Amino acid sequence: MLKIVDLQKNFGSFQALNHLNLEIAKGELFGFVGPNGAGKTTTMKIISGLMRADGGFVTIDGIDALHNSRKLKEKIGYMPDFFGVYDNLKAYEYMEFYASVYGILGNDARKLCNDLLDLVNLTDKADSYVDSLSRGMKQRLCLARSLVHNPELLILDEPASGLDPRARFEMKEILRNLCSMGKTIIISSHILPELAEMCSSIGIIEHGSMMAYGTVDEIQDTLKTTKPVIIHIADNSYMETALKLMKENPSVKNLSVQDNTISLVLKEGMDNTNILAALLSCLVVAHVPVCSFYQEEGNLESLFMQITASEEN
Amino acid sequence: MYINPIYRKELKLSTRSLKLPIFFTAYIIILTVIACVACAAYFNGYSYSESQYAAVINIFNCLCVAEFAMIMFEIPAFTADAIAGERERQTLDILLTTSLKPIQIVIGKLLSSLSSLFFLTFLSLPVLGITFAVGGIHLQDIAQLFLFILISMFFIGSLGIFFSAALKRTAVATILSYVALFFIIVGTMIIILLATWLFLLHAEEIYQQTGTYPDTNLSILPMILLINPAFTMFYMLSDTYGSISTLNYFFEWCGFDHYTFIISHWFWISLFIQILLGTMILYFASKKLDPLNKKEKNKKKNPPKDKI
Repeated sequence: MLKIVDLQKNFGSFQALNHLNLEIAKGELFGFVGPNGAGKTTTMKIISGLMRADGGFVTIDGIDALHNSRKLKEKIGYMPDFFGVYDNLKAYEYMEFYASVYGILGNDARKLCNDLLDLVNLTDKADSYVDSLSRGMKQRLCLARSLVHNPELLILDEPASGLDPRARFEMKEILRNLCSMGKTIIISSHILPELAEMCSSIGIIEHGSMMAYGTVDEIQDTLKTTKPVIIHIADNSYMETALKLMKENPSVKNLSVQDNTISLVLKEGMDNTNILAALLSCLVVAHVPVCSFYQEEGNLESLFMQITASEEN
Repeated sequence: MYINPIYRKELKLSTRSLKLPIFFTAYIIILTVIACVACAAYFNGYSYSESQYAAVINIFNCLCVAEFAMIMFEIPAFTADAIAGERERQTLDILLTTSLKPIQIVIGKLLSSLSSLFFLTFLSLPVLGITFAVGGIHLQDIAQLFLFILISMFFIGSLGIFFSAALKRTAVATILSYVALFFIIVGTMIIILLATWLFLLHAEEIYQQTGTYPDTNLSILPMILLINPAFTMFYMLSDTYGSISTLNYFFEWCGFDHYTFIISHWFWISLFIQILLGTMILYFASKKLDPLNKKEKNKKKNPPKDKI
């Protein structure tokens, strides 16, 4: 669906995008992750035709997006990170305005707008003035607005920023719904656990380059990092013994402690069940009251920290 | 029928705001006060109908100038925030990602800004109607006035839209629009006065050398006044009511009197030039608005097929 090859963008001497490469298949929900200033918004703006690239190629459905932006606007729905609304327009008028921009008028527009407002659960707010809506509702309205022309690719720049947990949950549900309708979605967010849970693939960008790309597990494999082992100790008085045992164990790379929980990172190549079993039996033999012992599933947050930290170093 | 979506939306928004009714009311009150003062001044002491015709023409001229001045003064305020305001409200990026072309956005914004102002000229009809009570003013004079105001609004409005598209802040766009308006109305006159002053200095030297003053000749410089709607309005009013000799004297004094075609068709040429300039300015405004308008320094090669 979307292919980015060697994309470059400079702002003066600052290199915002440095030969960025990315490929997203049709129907994918792609999470774009990166620290502030990494180049997420710049990439999204270039794809949306809001910014000129200094080099590289972007194709959407095989069409050169950098030189046929007019043609591609029919295929793209864009929702910026910060956006305003028009005062004195009601929600359905706001939708009808954007429908009219795409030449959808009259009854067709009315029906389409009702359907879209229903999709984002705003039917009961159709007659409310847009500026009176809450932030979460405005976000959903803007999402509905970006769908008026039935785009194949949705580009959502931090759609969940500033939303309360309930609004975030609703937004997540809507996005899943859209994905099941066959839309390809690119979403950037700072709320990493949600992205990991929702997205079919993730891209971690840093200093304008794609540092890692794939599912969380694939990125983990690529980075050859071991998943942390979490050990909960029932009685804090055994913590010292447990820590001593773990530190002495040659397969442990490093560990951290918080309250009665020990988090271990194993050395490279030591990430196997035998080692884990040996660690657990070592604790049990020493009568340490272990109430839980498990290897953490792929964690986007820790991956993100590892990748961005190694770049910083 | 196709109606520019931006224009349609802006009309809806403006009719819901209190700004326009207040503005319209203030405008009519000011124009009515001017009409009353002009009537009191010009009709006072006239007892013969022949003299009253002259008074009516003076009142009409007075109202035309007042209407023109008020509308010109309002154009930058109405147009400069049209696009810069969208940018400040953070709604412009969304518009630019739709299938609307930048020129459609520019035209929609200009139309919506100017339609409110053009509506004012219709609102002024009852006040202008005072002059019909006695006679001497024809309907075609009113039509010509409306045409002139419409085209001048287009020209000055397009400047406001250009600054609005080119600049990020409404305040800066408004100030620059007023500066541009000042240059067009007053600046062009100042250029002519400066050129005349310089010529007179030069003429003084020639007089001291030869003992005779040369005829003033500013070449084609007075043509700069073709872009000055105020001067063209003065021409229109003078041409209609027989005081064209004053202007002819001005052209003769500038040494411009041999450009007879331009002088005799000044009004229409000026309107044509204003339309032309306005259209060009709108084109540049749309280019400024287009985020992809910057020319590429190095033309990109086609992407290798295996990469795409």
